[in-house]
Amino acid sequence: MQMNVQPKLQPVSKGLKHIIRNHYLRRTIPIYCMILPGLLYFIIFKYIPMFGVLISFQNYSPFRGVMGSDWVGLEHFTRLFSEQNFLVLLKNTIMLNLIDILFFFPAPILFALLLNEIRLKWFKTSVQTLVYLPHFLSMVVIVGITSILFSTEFGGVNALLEGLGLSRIAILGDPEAFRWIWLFQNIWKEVGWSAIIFLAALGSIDPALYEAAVVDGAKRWRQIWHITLPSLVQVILILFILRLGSFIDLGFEHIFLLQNPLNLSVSEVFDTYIYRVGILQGQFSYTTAVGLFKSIVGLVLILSANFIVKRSDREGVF
Amino acid sequence: MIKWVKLSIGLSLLFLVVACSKNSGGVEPSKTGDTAGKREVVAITLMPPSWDGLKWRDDHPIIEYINKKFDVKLKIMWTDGATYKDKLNVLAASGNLPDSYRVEPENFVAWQKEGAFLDLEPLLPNYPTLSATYPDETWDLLNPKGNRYGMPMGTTPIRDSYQIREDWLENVGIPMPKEDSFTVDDFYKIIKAFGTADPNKSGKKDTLGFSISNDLGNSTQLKAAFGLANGWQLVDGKLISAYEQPKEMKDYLGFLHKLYAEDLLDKDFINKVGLNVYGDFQAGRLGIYTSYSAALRSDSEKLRSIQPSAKLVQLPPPIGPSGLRGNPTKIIGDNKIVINGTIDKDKQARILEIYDWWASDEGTSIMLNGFEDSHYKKNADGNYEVLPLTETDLPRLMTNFFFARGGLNHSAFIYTDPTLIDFDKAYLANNEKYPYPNAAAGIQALSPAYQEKWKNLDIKFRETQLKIIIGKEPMDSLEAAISEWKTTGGDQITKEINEAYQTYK
Amino acid sequence: MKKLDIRGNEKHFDLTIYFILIIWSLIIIIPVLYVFMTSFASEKEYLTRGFFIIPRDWTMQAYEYLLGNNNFLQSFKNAILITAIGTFISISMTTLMAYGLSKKWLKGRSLMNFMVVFTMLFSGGMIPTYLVVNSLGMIDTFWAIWMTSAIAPFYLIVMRSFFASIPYELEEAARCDGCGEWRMFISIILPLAKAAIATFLLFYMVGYWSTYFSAVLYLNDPSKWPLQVFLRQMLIVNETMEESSVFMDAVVRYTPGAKMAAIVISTLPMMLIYPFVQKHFNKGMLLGSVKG
Repeated sequence: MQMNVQPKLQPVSKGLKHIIRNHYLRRTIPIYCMILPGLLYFIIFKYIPMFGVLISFQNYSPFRGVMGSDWVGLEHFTRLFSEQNFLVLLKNTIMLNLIDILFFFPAPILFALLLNEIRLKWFKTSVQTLVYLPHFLSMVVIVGITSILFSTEFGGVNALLEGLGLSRIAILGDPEAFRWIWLFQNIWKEVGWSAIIFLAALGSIDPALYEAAVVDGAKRWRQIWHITLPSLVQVILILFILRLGSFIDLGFEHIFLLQNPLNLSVSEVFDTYIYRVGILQGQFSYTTAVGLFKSIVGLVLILSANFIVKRSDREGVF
Repeated sequence: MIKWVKLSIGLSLLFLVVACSKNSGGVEPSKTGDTAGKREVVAITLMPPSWDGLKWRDDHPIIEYINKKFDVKLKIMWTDGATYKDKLNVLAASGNLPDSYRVEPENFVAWQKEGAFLDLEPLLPNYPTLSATYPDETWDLLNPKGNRYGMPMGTTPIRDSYQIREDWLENVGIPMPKEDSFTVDDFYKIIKAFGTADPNKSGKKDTLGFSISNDLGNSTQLKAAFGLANGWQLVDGKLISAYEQPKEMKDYLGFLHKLYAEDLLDKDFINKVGLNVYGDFQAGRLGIYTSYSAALRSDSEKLRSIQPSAKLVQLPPPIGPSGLRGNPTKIIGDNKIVINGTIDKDKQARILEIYDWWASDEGTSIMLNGFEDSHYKKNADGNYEVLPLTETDLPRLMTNFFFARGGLNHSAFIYTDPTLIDFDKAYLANNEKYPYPNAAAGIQALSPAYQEKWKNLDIKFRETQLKIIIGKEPMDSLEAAISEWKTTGGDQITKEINEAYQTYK
Repeated sequence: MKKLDIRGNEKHFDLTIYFILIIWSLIIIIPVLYVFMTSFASEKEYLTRGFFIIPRDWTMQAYEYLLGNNNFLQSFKNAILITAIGTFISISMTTLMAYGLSKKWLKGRSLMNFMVVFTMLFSGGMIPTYLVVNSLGMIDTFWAIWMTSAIAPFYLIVMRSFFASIPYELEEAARCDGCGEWRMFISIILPLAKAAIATFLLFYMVGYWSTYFSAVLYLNDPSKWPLQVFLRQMLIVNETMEESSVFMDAVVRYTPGAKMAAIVISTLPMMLIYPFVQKHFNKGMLLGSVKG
């Protein structure tokens, strides 16, 4: 059950002495002190720079600054929405995100659940360590290894396939395969890393719960379903809501590395598109406008998800 | 517990205090004063992009030499090459731009108007060596008439040409092509033999006939042969882009399509960028690649470790059906070294003095070879020999990353075997016989539509080109792609570039 | 297998899971091994052999080269310093703030929570942040790196959720003993939070270890750059480099072996540290309310 017990607060009494001795304040001041350094951090390094979003309504010049640059109103937003392939960008972004949420998001949960079933300690820790390693390889290296492995003429995988009497596959340049290569590389790289948080959450399950289940004659997969998974619900929910917040945001570097002119129709997303108009030419205003658009989509999604979660009587992210 | 409160607040305040007290951002204010009298030491910061994590140590002999010679305190701000532009922008925004730095065409054009750069035009007569090191048109590039806001940073315009495996030619029994009669048909025959006749005598099919990158790299010579413009060409005083040459484009794509259809082109080329193609060449899978003279030597060495008989030679560009041919030609001088326009005059003059020296024979030698007896020495027989300190001091670094006089061969060190320098010269002379210039080179940056749209239009168009090459779309789809290119921005770019051409030429 | 415990012994179930995990481990280990082994292979082998696991002629050249490279060693030292102090700052600030925000009775709590989430969505961007850092005089100091990434909102929120799941009764009991908030935090809450702290310690550590962009942005002096800058400069030959009319051969080119060796060396510390952290977080951190 939810821990919703409210501490009983004493009525605030008059007089300075009383106020200081007041139970509520005595508890509150230390807590505020704990929050303060972090709060300062957010205000100084996150909120003060936010004046920067103003440049999306300007033609920003670094020499003239925000105060001196010309205001152009919504020009950059109009430009974004009237980009000829705006809809393609949106579609690709949504598709990749859906694939990501559908397949990548559950992967570490599944991995953690599987690992949780292992009782051989050395096996568990070695698998865990091993799967954590790819997180440290940069995408450049991973994409490089993939092309070495899957090269049509010289690749190891194709040599293997041919050895088995199968035909060679040419997936690297195939636009159809782009999304799945992207997804698989993501899973390969991050599944072990992302599972850490779930593994940490799983470690705290009271063994007595399993004992009781066994007494009730529950099979292992039923135990997973009724005990293990529910203990992860809170963390899954938080991660899911936060994931929605960055819904329209995809890692630039990875997509850019996999992109070629032929798979543009599936691989072109906002970040890669503005890379060619924006960052290369230093058009900060336009890039910022696109960023702002992405933020607003994220805000809408996160607010709705949080609302739904809170209505179902669980803890949201705010 | 109060201790903890104090500690946490104290800690966070401490961060700020410590950080504030260590103000090191930006350029030290220079001491102005009596510029006419004795020379005061001024602090000068240069900002080169640095690659491969290379830099000079702070007490590098060249820095000390310059400090003494010009009464300066030289600081070199080695900046990560990949993020150089970002750095430049934040420095501009915070008013901390260094005294002299490098800019690319877009920023050079945009920032001129902001008064960011020193106008060198009135000052250049005082620095004859510097002003003579580049021709006037290179100096004037991207500048409004009557102003010169930056120094050109240049290299050889026609540096590259095809290189071919001569040993492969021998193995497949094709004689080395004659320069005067080497046509695209001969080129095709060579490719076919390289792809099918086991040129490396391995007994396996482990070679590629030909390869290009997915931005059509390694095929510029073919574009030239089929009469396609290198970006833009001048027709009746008007600039026309290569996208509006459907016939030539079809010939060019048709050639590549034929290669692909006959399995002579790398099946994975769609997934390859220039470096991947280069990798195939270095690994001995590909026998024809576009590169430069010094690379011919280093790659020969690598190839010989794989196949001792390997031999690379320069290959002239093939001649197209209408007699055209050309080697990849770059514009030089659209990247500029600028001097900060907001620093004081004395400092600016001192910087120009340094560059004037840098462009001289003595300066060039020091900035390339370092100093005699520490970086190289003269042997009894009159030849020079490189000393180990060169390996760690890398005297050539600023010449490679930042500024060099015009027409310098960056790999002709004082200790380099003269026969190699002659080889480089001959290689370049061969290249320069077949220029393939872009008629709009250098003025493209003046068109806002070009800056905004070119790259995206280009990649969109390339989608159709690649589909035609791999046979996924018929040749006729080119027309639709051209009209799409024109209506979605191409026409506007053409218009703006022609306007810029009229005012700047 | 006598540890096959209280949860009941189901052979087929177990075998399936072992099978899946072994297959997945193989898929992971083969490319990782390739990276590892390439660091011992010659350039010729790298170029010609395509994919391989066992090099034909072993060479330690790449490691000798790197370990004799002063820039590499310097950047390694910088990375350790940035990571050690940065992690300490981040984990302290995050733990404190997360604990504070977990108090449901705190006034302004939901506003502050929203403020935190909001920064995940909206950011001022590179230039304004740089201007703030610049005006605080932090340019060219490690403080710029530590301060601009002191708290990851994501970790803060998960940690807050963990603190919120600590039973209230526990707190009440401590309070009856006359504990103040700080004492309770240190002597009751922190020991409970060991696993959570270990988890996020690891996350922050890895985060600081991979610092690249903020390092090149805020640090003008290359002798202060951390390992990742060095690594990226080795690995990523930017297309602008080809365009930049640099005579590439005049510059040192790293062999593939040296690149892979740099990856191996830079991953090693994070790998060595993992088992120590793993020990803690495998003990579990309570998250969310466990029903029942």
